[in-house]
Amino acid sequence: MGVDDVNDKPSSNEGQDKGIGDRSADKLNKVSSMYLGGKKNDMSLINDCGLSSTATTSVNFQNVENHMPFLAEGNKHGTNGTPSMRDLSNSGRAGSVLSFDLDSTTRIPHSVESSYYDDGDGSNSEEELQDLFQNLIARGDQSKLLKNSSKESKGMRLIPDISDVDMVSYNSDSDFIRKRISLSKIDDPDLFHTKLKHFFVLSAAGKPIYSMNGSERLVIGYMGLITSIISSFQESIDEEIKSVTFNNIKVVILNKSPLFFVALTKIKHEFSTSEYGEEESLLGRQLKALYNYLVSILSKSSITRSFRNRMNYDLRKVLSPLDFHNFDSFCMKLTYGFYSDEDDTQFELDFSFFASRLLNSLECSRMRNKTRTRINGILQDSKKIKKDIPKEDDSSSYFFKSETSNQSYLAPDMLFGFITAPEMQIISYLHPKNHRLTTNDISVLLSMITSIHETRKSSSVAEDSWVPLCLPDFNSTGFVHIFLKVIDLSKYVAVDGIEIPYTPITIALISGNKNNFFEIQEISKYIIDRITGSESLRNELANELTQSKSLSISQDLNIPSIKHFMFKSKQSNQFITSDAKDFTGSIDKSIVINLVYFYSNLYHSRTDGKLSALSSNRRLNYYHWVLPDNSVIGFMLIHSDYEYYCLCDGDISSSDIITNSLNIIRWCQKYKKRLFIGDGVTFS
Amino acid sequence: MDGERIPGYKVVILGDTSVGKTSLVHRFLKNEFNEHTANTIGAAFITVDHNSNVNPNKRVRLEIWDTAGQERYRSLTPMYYRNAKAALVCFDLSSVDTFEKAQYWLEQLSLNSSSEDTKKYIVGTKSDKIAEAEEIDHVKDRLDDTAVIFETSAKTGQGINQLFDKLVDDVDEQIFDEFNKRCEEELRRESENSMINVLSKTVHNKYSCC
Ligand SMILES: Nc1nc2c(ncn2[C@@H]2O[C@H](COP(=O)(O)OP(=O)(O)OP(=O)(O)O)[C@@H](O)[C@H]2O)c(=O)[nH]1
Ligand SMILES: [Mg+2]
Repeated sequence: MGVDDVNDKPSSNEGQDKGIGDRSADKLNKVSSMYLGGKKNDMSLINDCGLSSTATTSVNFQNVENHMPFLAEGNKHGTNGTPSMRDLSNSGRAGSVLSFDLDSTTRIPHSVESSYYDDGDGSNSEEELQDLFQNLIARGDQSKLLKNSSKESKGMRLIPDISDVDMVSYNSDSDFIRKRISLSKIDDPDLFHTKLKHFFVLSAAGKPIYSMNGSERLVIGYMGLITSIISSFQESIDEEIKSVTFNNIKVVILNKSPLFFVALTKIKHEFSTSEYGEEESLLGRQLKALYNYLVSILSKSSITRSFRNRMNYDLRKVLSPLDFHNFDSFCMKLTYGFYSDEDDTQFELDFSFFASRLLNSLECSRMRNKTRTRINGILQDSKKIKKDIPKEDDSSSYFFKSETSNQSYLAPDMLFGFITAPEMQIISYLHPKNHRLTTNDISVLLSMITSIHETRKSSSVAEDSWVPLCLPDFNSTGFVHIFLKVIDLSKYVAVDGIEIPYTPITIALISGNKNNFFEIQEISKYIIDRITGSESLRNELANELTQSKSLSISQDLNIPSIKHFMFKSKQSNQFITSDAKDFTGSIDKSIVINLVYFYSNLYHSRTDGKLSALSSNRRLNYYHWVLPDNSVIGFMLIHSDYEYYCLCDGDISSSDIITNSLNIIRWCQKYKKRLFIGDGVTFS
Repeated sequence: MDGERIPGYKVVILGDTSVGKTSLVHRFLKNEFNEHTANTIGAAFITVDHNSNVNPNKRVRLEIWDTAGQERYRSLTPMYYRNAKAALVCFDLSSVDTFEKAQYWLEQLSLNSSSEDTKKYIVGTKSDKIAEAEEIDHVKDRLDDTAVIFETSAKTGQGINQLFDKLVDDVDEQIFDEFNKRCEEELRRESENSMINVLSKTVHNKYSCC
């Protein structure tokens, strides 16, 4: 087929004399015909749907006198009562987004802002917010809240708007998922084309390193094509990230020469770009995550070294099956919020992983402050353990030895310490006073911890791991060494007559010195002894961990009308989400995919509208999706201290959304010490 | 020191990726086998007390380093076999190519002066996957006559206990002698310490030996 035509040409120095524009356009046309060639259905589908991008009404209150956040004086349009969302949904497009941008710039002192929800003025502000929201809805009236499609639902719960693919030809969600979404490495070009999402990692010489789908033979056939897209960008080689959209496909390329990371998508919500450029778009972040993983296991300098003078170097030589599995798992979770292996025997729903990448922040383990403080204290104490002086034969030394002067710290090279619960939740974090790891680096570390966790699940052997890891932001050219130990709390509380399921916690201690495993092991023993040796602490912790596994809006917060929410504390860059099960009462792949769809749209609606200074803005936004059987409302509130996103049933009244959302936000702020670890604890 | 006083015995497990090193250790420790063992990242450290069947009084604390065979960890591996008392050099009987890597590690061990005293055990893994012993003969040709190949299978358990029993049987008596001497020394000093009534209680430095 056509692929070979492109492949036959030497792609690197072809067409030097051609105009840049011509060349690029030429290539891109080829690409589009590649993917769409012989797929007339796809083409006609795009035309059939004729969906324009979502409508945005953006109102800027920059010039309005503000004396409170959310309050724009003189802006109370006379909306009577609280209109139901449903009343407003009466037209035929794919969902609409409406936004208010409230720029209060420097008018409000920061202290007022941050205490805003805590003080007695809360109700007053709530009123204003209600007004504003109704105003928003009223203004949106002309663009209407829209119905998506008239297709038969046939019991399918997947949002039809995920792609341009006509879902009528699939007889169930799982049929659609199997053909369009699930990983497949088999040698079937048709199936390969069918997939909504592709990731490729390749070398500058066009050697494939990783592909999410397709057999090796199939993928090699595409490398020429991809390198020709890349070479059409070569004119601006200094730019790290490039994207191109044609018809129903978007391609983003991250240039990390000598490697290229490519994402190709037909998923509509992945088309949006960020106001900070493609790098911060969904696809840009996904590619960065893959890149970071590769750097974390190999280091940037060793990747560069491998390819120096050997453009044909095959990087796969230094990758293990586990690495490829991790790539697969990242690609799936970043795109769809779940991972399942090819034959679908094992799958793992992991909305939190998706959320953490979407919000670019970290998830912490929910825990009472008292318990966390005790664990923090242990981590801090562990850093202070002194090394005992080896015995000298001259016993006179005993008399001259002062208690402290001859003793040095057991592990001066220990840089960071983490205690985590599974699913990458941080319980406690220790770092030097003057140095903190970036969110990126912590994510890389947590991924590695998860990877180890997974390998341990199948075995009862208690082992200590000593793992070299490159933290891309901390030092992309070298490795730190991580001591890792997983303990099962259920074994320790069993002696107290308490029965709980397998409750692993991980002790991860990071050392700058590869040779001091045994010193760090000693520190870990101290930490484990302190945690498990105290009956009260081990029970407290076991109790917290078994109870806090998921956060139920209806039970923990008693706000059942909000079905799901995510709250991110901006200061600490940490987030919490409620249990994904609450959204519909159960959870499966389709529901996770829908959550990913809703939140991706909602998240990207922040960037709609013309905004100059986003950081000083408070924004309010909502989305209304009318689906064949029901409708869903997404609501978002961005404040200088936090970001809040939620989903609820379509028939909720606008006032209920505001009231309940503010209650949730207040709850999150009130319990922030339980929900977040903040800056962690330090040593100097 | 934890509980019973028995000498430590450092054992390193070497060999190409996926030959079955981790599976071997897990079969030995817990009598378990998993078709989907994940690759080791870096190295894993496990301690276990073991005595030989022949002489139940001969008991050591095996300090096992299960190393990652993936090529990218190669430069880190010497730190695990340095001062090891025994090395299990593994290759996959059903994939004789992996013997090249085993031979590489055997060479490295003999080149490295600190590993001169390291006892080397050549371990063929996954014996359940080969029908006949022909392949092994091919490998044997490349070894000197004295070399023994332990044929094992983590899947069936074949040869695994025998291997570790042999490992403990082979432990030099000298190690026990030295260990006992050190213990006596320590006891003597502890009683001295209490007589001198020093301010600080000093404990023998556990790391100096590693
Ligand atoms: N049939 C059979 N399969 C085995 C045996 N031992 C290991 N395997 C399989 O071989 C694969 C690799 O085993 P591991 O124990 O992880 O190999 P490893 O040497 O530790 O690999 P690295 O950690 O990457 O160095 C796994 O899928 C095991 O299930 C065996 O005795 N028989
Ligand atoms: Mg292993």
